[in-house]
Amino acid sequence: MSEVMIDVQNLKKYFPTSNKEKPVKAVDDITFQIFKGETLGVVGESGCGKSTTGRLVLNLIEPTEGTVSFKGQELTHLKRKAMRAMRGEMQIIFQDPYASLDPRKTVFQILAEPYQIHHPEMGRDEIYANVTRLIDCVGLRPEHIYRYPHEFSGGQRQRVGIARAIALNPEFVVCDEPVSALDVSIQAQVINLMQDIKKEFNLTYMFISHDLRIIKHFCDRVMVMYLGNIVEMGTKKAIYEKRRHPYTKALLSAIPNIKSEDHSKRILLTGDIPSPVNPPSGCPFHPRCSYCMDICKKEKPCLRTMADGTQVACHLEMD
Amino acid sequence: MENTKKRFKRRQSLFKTDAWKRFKKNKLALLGTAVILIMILAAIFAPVLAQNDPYISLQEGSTILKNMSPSESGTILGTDSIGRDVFSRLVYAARVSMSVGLVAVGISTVIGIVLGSISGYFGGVADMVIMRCVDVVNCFPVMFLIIIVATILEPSIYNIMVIIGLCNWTGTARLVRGEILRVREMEYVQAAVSLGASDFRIIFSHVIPNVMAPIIVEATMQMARAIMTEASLSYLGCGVQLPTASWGNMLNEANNLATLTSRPWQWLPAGACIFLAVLSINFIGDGLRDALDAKQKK
Repeated sequence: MSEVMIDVQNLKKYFPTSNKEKPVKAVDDITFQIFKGETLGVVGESGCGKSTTGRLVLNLIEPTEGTVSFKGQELTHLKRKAMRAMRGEMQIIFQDPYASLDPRKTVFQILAEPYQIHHPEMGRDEIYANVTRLIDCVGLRPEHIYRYPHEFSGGQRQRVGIARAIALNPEFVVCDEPVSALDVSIQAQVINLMQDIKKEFNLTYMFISHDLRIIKHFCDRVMVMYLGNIVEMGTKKAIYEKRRHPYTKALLSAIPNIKSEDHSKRILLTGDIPSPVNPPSGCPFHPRCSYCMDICKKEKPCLRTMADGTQVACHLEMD
Repeated sequence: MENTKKRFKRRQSLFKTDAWKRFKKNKLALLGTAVILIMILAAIFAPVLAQNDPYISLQEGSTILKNMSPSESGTILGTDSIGRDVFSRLVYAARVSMSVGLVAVGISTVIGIVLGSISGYFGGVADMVIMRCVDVVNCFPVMFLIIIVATILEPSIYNIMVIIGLCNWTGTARLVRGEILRVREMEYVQAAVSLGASDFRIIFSHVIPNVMAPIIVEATMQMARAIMTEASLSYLGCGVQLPTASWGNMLNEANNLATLTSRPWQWLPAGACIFLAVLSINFIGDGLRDALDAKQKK
């Protein structure tokens, strides 16, 4: 693999609750890297800490413990001003295109803002030229720039959100469920747009989603999260074909398939995801795991590296 | 570039008409606006409208025309107990009431926005301190406080404006704080943070414009309250001092039973003006609340 772009070490994020002894462990000690030019997919159920991880990586929220480095520069201890200057290089695309655009600003004002912040020397003409270039990039028409967000459809709004994220030529973009609020027919368009933009701008993506088919289509490597922990991480091929971790198995068997008549292969998980306030002892997945052994209840498994480079956190014997 | 600027203007004014269209549908609000406009115009053109000087008693030969009814004195609303033209005083009093309302609300809204924003956006200790100040100011028996301060500082129209302004910012501060707590969690604010915008930029460019509508509504309602407060103070004699006319101190004339029962022209118009002004402003406030809510689209 090439150069490391994002290096996350032992990252934890606990949100305080009314009971000080028991915080919500949204992200509980995760370590991973994102390499330059790749797309890392992050999957997991709702509430497993995917979005929190995305925001932690961008330092939009302060971690409780651990560090995040961007191109070798540690972000967690950076001064506010230095951090603000860095933000141009790392951007985020939000889930809900209805909430992520300021309703009182025109598309022009929304897209001009990144330039006003990072390039105060730019005149109106130059900003105008940049905004029209962006608008063209994401497949909107020039006359759209003086409209307000409420005059657009969801897909068009998400295009504006993407345009804002790439305005400053960032190297790294976190996509926080960018298509899950859109119609299925629009999802494909937006996904294709994001793929084109990735090529054009040479981007590195961290792609958060709960849609396994989109992850399969879009990502190079996949990270499976469960209850604030990484349970398995590896190349797309290894994850989708080998399905080592029992949770990954269950998750992937839930992908609807028209061809297969056989529903018996589907693994149904019983019970709910445990509360992150009070996670189970040992392996966080053990109460729902059909392979549960005694050791799973006592000891939390560490990530083990397999022969093909896949990392799995499980006590089961596997190759 | 000229062309694009023009287009930009056109879209903006179109957006404003949307709010105006919604406002227009509310007939009471329109009526209120008309009444307030008339009052403001009357206040501005007071010297033209008033036939007589509001501070000089009317005389016929050497007799002062005291307590004359409209028909007896030949003026529109008769004369008061020392012979001054009631209509002239009423028009001049509109100047006092309107300016007290505007200036007091201006002061309280600015204080409220600044303190409310700090409190809501930064939270923590600043929030604690400011909100406790709000609680403390809310505990003041405002009327009593104003009376005392006005008495110590020698009552004048300027003191009244400042005191009312300084006592009424708590509502706005609370409102702004609550709205900012709501808006700062919105994804578009998060987006601005991730673009590297400064706190100042986020507050003034994203947060305040999105909480402006309730602030305007609150300011309108407060203006009605400020006019009421000024009228009450002047009625009690701690507000605007004679001979300067204010609707409140004109009502003071009705302190005497003979006036109250047999000379209604001396106090009824002032009372009606206060009533109409406050009611109209409240109607405008209601209308604005409905019109400025961008989500309520037809």
